[in-house]
Amino acid sequence: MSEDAPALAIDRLDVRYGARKAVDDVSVTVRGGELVAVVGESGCGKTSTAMAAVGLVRPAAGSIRVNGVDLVATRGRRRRELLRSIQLICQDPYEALDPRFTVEDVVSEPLLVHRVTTSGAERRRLVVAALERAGIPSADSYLGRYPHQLSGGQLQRVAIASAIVLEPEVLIADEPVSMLDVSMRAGVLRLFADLRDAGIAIVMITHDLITAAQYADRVVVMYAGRVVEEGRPDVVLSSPLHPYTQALLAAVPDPERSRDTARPALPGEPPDLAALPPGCRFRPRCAAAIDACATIDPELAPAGQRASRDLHRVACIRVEAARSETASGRAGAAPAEADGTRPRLPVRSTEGPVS
Amino acid sequence: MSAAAEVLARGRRRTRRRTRRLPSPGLAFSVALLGVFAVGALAAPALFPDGSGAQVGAPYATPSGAHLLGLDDAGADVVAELLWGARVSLLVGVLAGVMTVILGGVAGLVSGYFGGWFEALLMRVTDFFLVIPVLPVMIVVAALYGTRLVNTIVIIALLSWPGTARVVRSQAKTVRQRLYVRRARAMGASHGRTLVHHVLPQVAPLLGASTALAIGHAIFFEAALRFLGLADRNTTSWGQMIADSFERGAITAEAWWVLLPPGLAIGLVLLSTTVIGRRFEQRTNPRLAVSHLGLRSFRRAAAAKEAS
Repeated sequence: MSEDAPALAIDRLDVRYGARKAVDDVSVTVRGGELVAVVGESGCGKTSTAMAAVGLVRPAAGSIRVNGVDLVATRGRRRRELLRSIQLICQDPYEALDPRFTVEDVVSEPLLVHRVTTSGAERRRLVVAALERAGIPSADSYLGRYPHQLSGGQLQRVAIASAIVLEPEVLIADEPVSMLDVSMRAGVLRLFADLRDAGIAIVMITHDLITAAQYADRVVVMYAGRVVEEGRPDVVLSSPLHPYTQALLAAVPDPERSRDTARPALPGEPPDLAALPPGCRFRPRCAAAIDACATIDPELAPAGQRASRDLHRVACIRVEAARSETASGRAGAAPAEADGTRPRLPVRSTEGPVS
Repeated sequence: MSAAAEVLARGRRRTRRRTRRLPSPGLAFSVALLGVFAVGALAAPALFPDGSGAQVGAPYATPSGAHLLGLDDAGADVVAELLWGARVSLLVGVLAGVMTVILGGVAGLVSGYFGGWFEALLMRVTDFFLVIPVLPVMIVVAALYGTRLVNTIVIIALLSWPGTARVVRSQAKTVRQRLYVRRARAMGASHGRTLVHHVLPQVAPLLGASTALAIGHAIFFEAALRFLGLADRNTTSWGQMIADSFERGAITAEAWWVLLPPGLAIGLVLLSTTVIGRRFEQRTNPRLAVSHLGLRSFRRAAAAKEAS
């Protein structure tokens, strides 16, 4: 286990369900103290990536390294030790907690599973500390309550407490706020930001670009099982290079945009994961597609302005072509800039008042 | 909501409340009846210390104050026979029933939880057991391995477990898919821990229901074997009493008091276990009870109840 290994390194991950390639050659690296948002529409493979990362789904290929140790290749006791440092937070807090377990049972279960302490008093102290860290005030009074006696926001905080009670290095959060009331979201999201600041590596799966823009250090856009664009949220969302990211951004409601401005709707449906089209998998829906797109399956490659080149990566041959054409001149010409439909930066809070 | 829909909804709510609040005379009666038989069986040696088959008067003496249900062909008190018989019938029922549920419960839990080849194999085995006619197999096995009480119990359990296994398996399969079970696995919990702490509690009421039903069926099968003469003649049971009254001419003697009591006893016990089992099932089956539908529906139902 090397010192400088990233907390979580997903490398060339493939997840298949029968003939369907849910995740195809996805690599994502997250360091301690970094919050990475994975965005994309339903069925793009973001949840499958998360399930593989916590060991619930067996990948067909690739590795998942936690602090440099591959979870896929590890068995038995060492695998359980690895699972201890990577914890999952589910989308639906109503379903994620056993209805027969009290709050104390839920939060102390990880401690019992990993035999952290034999002392009941010590266990209770850890449980209360985790609950308070997860933002539940006067946690003592919650210990004996059952899930059905709590609100969605409280349940999600209990779930987070049970995920952080083992002091993991990586948290995988699968749409952690999408089931919550809007008024509860800001608080839970800020909690994730706090945990990130405390040094935990966080992967947050979401389909909400605004959330990603506000809380993430890096955004990973997925389409049909592939990463199509990756970079800092301000860069990706202000000058998206991949036509799919552009279409996603164009779909974000914007009160300042004139109603007369035609919003470019994305035609068609995502491809059948069991019968992917040759070449670029976004080509059938892409307005900027050229003939070569049908034959070349684009790799994720550095792109964009020179200053952010090491951070901004995109999988589109139009971007590569534009870059090589203007290599001597201005850098980073993208198809969006060429046809003038570049979307506005939608970084604006949709959250309710701070709770 | 339209007026008609409102009326319908109110009707539904009322029905639900009624089914949940209804005091259940059937259940109380069933529990009481089983209790009476159990106490009687336990008290038989104290009440009738001479054991079963002790002659106390003339054969086929009619019911009287001294012998409430009269005497049988051997001049033995029918009440004494009934209580001594209850010991065997209930013992076979409980032991075979519990054995059935342990075998079927373990097989069902393991195959439902793990799935895969074990589940496929188990389902073929249960298919096999479900299509073979139970009674002829029992006859063959009893003929081959003798008629001792232990054999009877084992045979009944071996032929009954697949039914329980199927029911338990389907429940375990649904529980396995629940998010909190998957979350426990992701946390690093072992299969054993997940099974015992998360799956078993959800399946437990079903096991209770299965036990009640299995006991009833075991008592019935025991009687059937007795009637066919495939049981230990040294002991008596309700089935033995019926078999004897047929073989020894109680019917031609018009001694109804010899034939009816064991028959009624079997019928009533079977009915009681069925009522108790169904009641358990009602509390387990998601379609029959709101409380088991998972939290959101439970909260919705609670809110609807409060609102009405």
